[in-house]
This record gives sequence, C-alpha cells and structure tokens, in this order.
Amino acid sequence: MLNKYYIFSIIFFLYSCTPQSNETIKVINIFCKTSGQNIIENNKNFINKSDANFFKSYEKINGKKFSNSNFIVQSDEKRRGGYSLNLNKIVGNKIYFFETSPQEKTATSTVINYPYCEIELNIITNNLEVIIER
Amino acid sequence: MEIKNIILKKKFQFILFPLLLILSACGGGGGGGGGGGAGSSTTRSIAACTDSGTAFQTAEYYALGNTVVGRGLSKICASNAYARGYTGSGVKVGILDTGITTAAHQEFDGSGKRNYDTGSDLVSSDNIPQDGHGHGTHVAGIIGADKDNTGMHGVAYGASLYHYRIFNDAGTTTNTIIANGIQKAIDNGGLSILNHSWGTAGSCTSQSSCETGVGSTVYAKIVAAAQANIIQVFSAGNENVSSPSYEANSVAYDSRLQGVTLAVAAVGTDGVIANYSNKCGTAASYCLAAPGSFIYSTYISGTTSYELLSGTSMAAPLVSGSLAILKQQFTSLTNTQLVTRLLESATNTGIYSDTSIYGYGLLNLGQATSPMGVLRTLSGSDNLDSGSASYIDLSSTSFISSASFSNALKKSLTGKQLEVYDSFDRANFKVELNDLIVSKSNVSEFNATNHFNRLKSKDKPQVYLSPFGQTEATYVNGQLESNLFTTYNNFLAIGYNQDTNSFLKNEKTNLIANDSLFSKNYFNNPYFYNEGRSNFFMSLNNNQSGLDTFMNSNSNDLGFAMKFNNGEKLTEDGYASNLEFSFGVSAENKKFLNSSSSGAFATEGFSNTNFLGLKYNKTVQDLNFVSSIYMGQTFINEKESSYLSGSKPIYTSSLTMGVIKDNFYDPSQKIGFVMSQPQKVEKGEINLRVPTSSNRDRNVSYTTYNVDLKPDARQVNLDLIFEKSITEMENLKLGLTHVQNADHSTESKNQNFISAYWQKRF
Repeated sequence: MLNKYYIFSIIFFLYSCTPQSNETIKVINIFCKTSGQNIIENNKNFINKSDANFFKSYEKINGKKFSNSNFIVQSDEKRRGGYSLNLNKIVGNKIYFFETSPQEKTATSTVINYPYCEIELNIITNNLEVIIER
Repeated sequence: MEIKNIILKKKFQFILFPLLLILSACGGGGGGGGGGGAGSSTTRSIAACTDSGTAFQTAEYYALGNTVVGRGLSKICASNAYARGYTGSGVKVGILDTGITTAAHQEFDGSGKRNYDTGSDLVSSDNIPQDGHGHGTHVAGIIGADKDNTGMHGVAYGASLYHYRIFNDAGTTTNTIIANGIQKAIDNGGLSILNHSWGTAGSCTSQSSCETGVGSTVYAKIVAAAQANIIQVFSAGNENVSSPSYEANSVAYDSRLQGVTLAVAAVGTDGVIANYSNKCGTAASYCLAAPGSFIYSTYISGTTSYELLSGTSMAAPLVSGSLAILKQQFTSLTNTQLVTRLLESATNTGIYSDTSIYGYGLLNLGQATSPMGVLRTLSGSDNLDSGSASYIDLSSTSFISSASFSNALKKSLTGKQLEVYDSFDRANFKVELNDLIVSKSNVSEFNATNHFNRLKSKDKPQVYLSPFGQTEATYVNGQLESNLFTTYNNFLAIGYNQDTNSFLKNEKTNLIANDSLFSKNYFNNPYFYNEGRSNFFMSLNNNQSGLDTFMNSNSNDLGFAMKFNNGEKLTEDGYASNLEFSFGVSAENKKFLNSSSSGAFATEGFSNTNFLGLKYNKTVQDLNFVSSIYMGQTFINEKESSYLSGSKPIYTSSLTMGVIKDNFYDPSQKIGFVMSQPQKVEKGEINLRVPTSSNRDRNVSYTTYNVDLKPDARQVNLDLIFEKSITEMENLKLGLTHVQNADHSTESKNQNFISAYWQKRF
C-alpha cells in the first residue's frame, strides 16, 4: 500500500508539473475595434507579449482599453469601414474570431482600417493559433 | 547730425569733376512714399504652389501632414490663404459621419466647432451625435480643428462645424438613416458645404445605375441638397478602380448635381495617386485630388487624442475646408463659381495633367485664393455681370499725387481699401487704396544730384544778335537745350525750356536767383508746371503790363497770365522797387495741381486753376529784397464713372521771400538768404467713391471716402547761398539749405544740406 501510495504521489507530482499548455485558455479582457494603422506588421494576424515586437504593436493602438493586454489580433487591411472582429470561440489552443463585413451595396466610411482585438489572456503560450473566419 | 554727402566740383571746359565733397545733412528722410470672362478656361497650366505664408507655418500647421513639410496643409499651400486673412470664418460646414467626440477635446473647444441641430444623431435619434467610432471626429479635425498651438489644426480652422451622426460605432448604417441625415443638413438652412467621407463601393455608368447603386432614397436627398445650393464633397472611394464609387460618380451623369458637387481622389505622401484611391475617371470634370495618406487629426480616445488615418475620407475634408476658405474670401462668387474656381485652380502640370486619374488636378489652395487672370476695377454699375459694368485693369489705375497734398491724401486713406475683381468669374479681392497712390515729393529736389544742379552756374549761352533782338541758346552735346529770344525793348520774349520771367531781369544785381535753378523756381509761376523738358513760354510786355503764356510740348498743360507792375526803373543811385500783380488760369489735361491719375481714378479734359500772384522786388543799393506769393483755386474736371470726384474747389498757396546782398565784403562776392514754402493745399477735398464689398447676387456696394487734402504741416525751405567770382572764368558757390516739414508733413525729419561748388571754364 505504501508503495502504491508513494507511486501515486509521484505520478500526481509529475502531473502537476506538466506544461501549462494543457491549461484551458481563458479570455480575461477583450476589446475589439478598428485601427487606422497596421498594428501587426509582417503579415501576422496576432502577436503576444512574449514577442519582442509586442510593445511596438501595442503602442500603435489608439485608445487602449486595459493595461494588462498580452495578446493582439488583427485582420488584414480594409478599404472601407463597417468591418469588425469578434471573438467566436476557443478550442484547445485555437482561438476563433469572426470578421463581420459590411453588406454589399451599403454605404460605409472610406478609410483604410484594420480591425483588431486587444486581449488579456490568462496564459500566454507559443503554440496558440488564431483563426479568423469570415 | 548725420553726414549725408560731401561734394565739391570743378569744371573744366564745361565738364564737371568732383574735387571735394562737403555735403552734409541732419536728419533726413521723410515724406514721399510711395471684364473679364466667366468661369472655366479651355487651356490651363497651373504649376504646383509655393507655400509662402511663413507666419502660419507652425508645428501645428505641419502636424496634419504627419509633421512632414510638403505634406498635408503645406502640400496645398493653405498658409497662403491664412496670410490673406482667410480661415473659413463665418462659413458653416456640415459633416455627415460617425459624429463628433463629446470629450472636452482641446481641438474643438473653440466656438462653433460642435454645433448640433435637434436630432443630429440620426442613429440613436437624439440631439448629441456622439462619436464612438472615431472616423467622424478625425474628419471634423481635418476640416476645422482649432488653431491653438497644440496638436494640429484643420484647413479651415475658423469654420463652424455641424455634425450629423449617420454611422453607428461599428461604422454601419442604413439608407434611411443617411437620407434622414442629409435632410437634416438641408433643414439647417445655413450650411454652405456638406462633407461626405463615405460612399458605396461599385461603379455606375449612367444616372439610373448610379441612383440604383446609391439607393433611390439617399439619391433623392443628395439631389435635394444640391438643389438647396449646398456644395457636396464626396470621397471617391478606396477600391483602387478607375472611377469613383456610386455617390461620388453620380455627378458625372446628373446635371442636377453638377456645379455644386465634387468627387475627391487621394494622393499618397509622395504626391502620386494613392494605391488605394479610386481615380477620377468618368467624373473627371467634377473631380480633383487631395492628400489623403497618413493624415494626423483628432480622435476619440481622450481630450488630446489624435490618429493617423488614410483614405479618400481624409482627402475630401481637405477640399471641404478649402471651399469654406473660398466661401469666406470671395463674397462675390456663387457656390457654383466657388466650385469652379477650386477646380480650375488645381495643379494640373506634370503627373497631375492626367485627367483620368486626377480630374482637374491636385488641390491648390494657394492658387485658388490668389487672383486668377488680371485684377480689374469696376465702374459704371453696381452689378458685376451688368452689361453696363466697365472694367479697367488695376495695373493701369494709379494716382500720382502732387506733394502739395500727397501727405494728406496718404494719411486720409490709411487702412482704407477698395474691392477689385479678377478676370476669372470676377472674384473679389481687397486692395489698399494707398497702394495705388504714388506721392511726388518736394524733398526729391534735395537729393545730392539735384542739390548741385540747383547750385551750379548755367553754362554760358551762345548769344546771337539780330535786327529784332537777342537770342540766347544753350547746347548740351550739340543738342539745343534751351533758348530765349527777347526783343531789344523786352517787349516780346519767347522761350524754349527757358522761361520768360521778366520780373527777374534785374538790371543791377543780376540776382543769384536769376543765375541758378535754385531760386529761380521760387519766382516762377508755380501753376505753370514746367517739369521735365520741352516747354514753351511767351511773354508780351510793355513797361507796366504784359501777359505770359505757357505750354508744354504735348499741349497737356496750358497757362495764361496777365500781369501789371509799377514799371519803376533803377535809379542812378541804386534804388528801385518793382511790384508785379498777375492773375490767370492754367489748364491741365487729365490732371490737376500737377497730379495725374489714370484708370479708375482718371479725370478727363482740362482741370482749371485760377490763380493770383504778387511779386515784389526792392533794390536798395547793394541789397535786393525779393518776395512772391501765389494763391490758386483749382476745379477738377471729373470723368463720368471715375472713382475720383471733387465738387468743391481746392485752394493752394506758395510763397517766397528773401534778400540778396551784392558786394559782400568784396565786389566779387554775393550772399543771399531765401525762405520759401512750396505749393501747398490750404483747403480742399476730393471724394473717392470705390467698390468695397459685393455679395453672391453679384451686387456691389460702394463707399465714398471724403478726403481732406490739407496737409498737417507747412514745408519751409531756408537757403543761404554765397557766391564768389574768382575770375571771369572761375567762380565758387557755397550753399546751406534747411528743409523743415518736408512735403508738408510733421512726420518728416528736418533736413540740412551743406555744399560747395567750384566752377572753372577754359
């Protein structure tokens, strides 16, 4: 019994020390809007705080909503207004966003813009994947 | 005392050489001073503007162009308009967009920046069009953000902004909301310009297809706004296609929109069409380009927030703001004419000559606010488009005023303006009246050259005797400069460039006054304006009466005087007195009191001056007392439709008195002291009735300026002259001149001249 208990304890200890990637990703704060500037360069659609360029991107956000943002998602360049990004779901390490487009043949502003979301996640991992659905 | 000049001259064989310069002056300075077709042109060549309003080129000015000189406001030369005094003040601009920040933004705390009509928020159906998106606030800043030494300022920072929220915070809307928004702007009743930094992507090739693309409800309101005479400015769209999107392109096919509707494409920071911008294409005749990339303007994130945005959304408000400036500046232009002017003034050289891309070219506010064609004065009508309106080029309009009243004229007109009109739709401009006036100056006689000319002895004339009398002729370089024929009994005298003033023919003293240009002028009739050359004189005299005539070569100046004197001859013991009374008239063609005017200030025919003169000369052995006084009464012969009129006579005076002593310590020496006052207006006025304002009905208002011609001071010249005949061929003159209140102005500094002049003939 002692051995079994001992072995169980070791297994529990080892389990508790596994990487956090297995922890459920949760969104603590999120704010989505459009930016007049390309926040994330190099054709990426997201950037997290562990990236060296994160603060450079973060500074481009005009009207930051909270100070603990650690994750930014951005859609590609839009030639007119009426677009927006919305968090859809999180499945494992995949975060799904839905991009809303203005209806065809409807009037919109004529400004170059980039829909984005400023996000505070509970954890930051390098194996996150962002999927923007349209 | 300021040493001004020092000169002493020596003459060898009638050639003068400077030997020693001893001319000094105290003080110095002072005085003096001083139809067009309509609309569009078929061939234009407007070069890029030069941003020249340096006083307005602040950090705030450059900020809108992302602090880069040559972008944003400096690209369109907005500072030139500011330097002219125009900022869009008093002009109401409507903005249909996402609303305006309601935060206490520093760029909108000036008056008139956040005007709301009841129900201005068409999205939320309330009165406050609060912007939760940012686009509308950015556009509003481009048009009219405050000039307050912080952040940036809009192109028309003096304009009043009216905000209508037709997009929600996500940037979407419905056609009903848009239509209601436009109607709300129409209902305002005071908007001149409506900015539409929005549109519907898609191309149309006919009125019906445009209307379908826009939506009939919205389309009807756009037409209604145009019919309400509101200038509408549409962004061309960002799809990088060959023609603007539906709303902006509609003007190409709907005559109801044409004239008051513009499409605006965007150029990038390099000045070339932006890679996103739709081109002017089918709307080229109603389209131009403006900077649209990386425009720094107000945002909604706080009271000091700004954002860099790009798009034709940013180009359109630069055009709207520019139109506000034109609207303020050109009160004589209709809205259609303002639009035409903005198009026709656009830079269209170089790459901007491609009308399929840039339409009329690149927005050029510097050119739009400058005269196009020539500036002209209006007369003959109070309506710019009247058939009876007469236009004269401003360049041919001038007033060259005599020093007898130039000081008073300039003072009276300080700060007063007249309105003139360029030859492009007769846009109105202001011109300072004093800029059209050139003042003659008595003081110019006292420059170094003229001062010596007054002192120098005349070249010895050649004398020809005939059975009828004596002719004196002076030649310069073989050319006859002057001559004077007098009969033996002095009954008849005829002069060419040499007056026939018999009063100065003193038999004993040979006055200094008679031997120099200096004093001689003081004893001539001041109303015979023998300036310059080619003047003719004739006198008929007996012992006690006579007449003088004067005429210049082109017969523009004529003079006639009767004169009477006591005819007393010099006695053997050296006493005589000679009193001469004269009266007469001088006639000046197209001028008066030796003041010529032209163009809109012209007079016509002959203006007459009646004059009286009294001259007195008394010789008491070696002393010769001389004096003269003249008074005149001038009547201006007005020209119909001239700005200048004078219903009352102008009274003038001039006087001279002095004494000359012969045999001053030595028979070869003379000394003379003369005090004189040049011709001066004692009482008189003229009226200048000039256009000063105009309205959009093209009616012109005139203002009459009553100008008192009496100067505020009296010029007095004091001359002390010493002359010594060293030999028959050699003499020396020393002169001291003091001029007080030059040109009859208290503002003139006193002037003093000291000179020495030595002449020797071989």
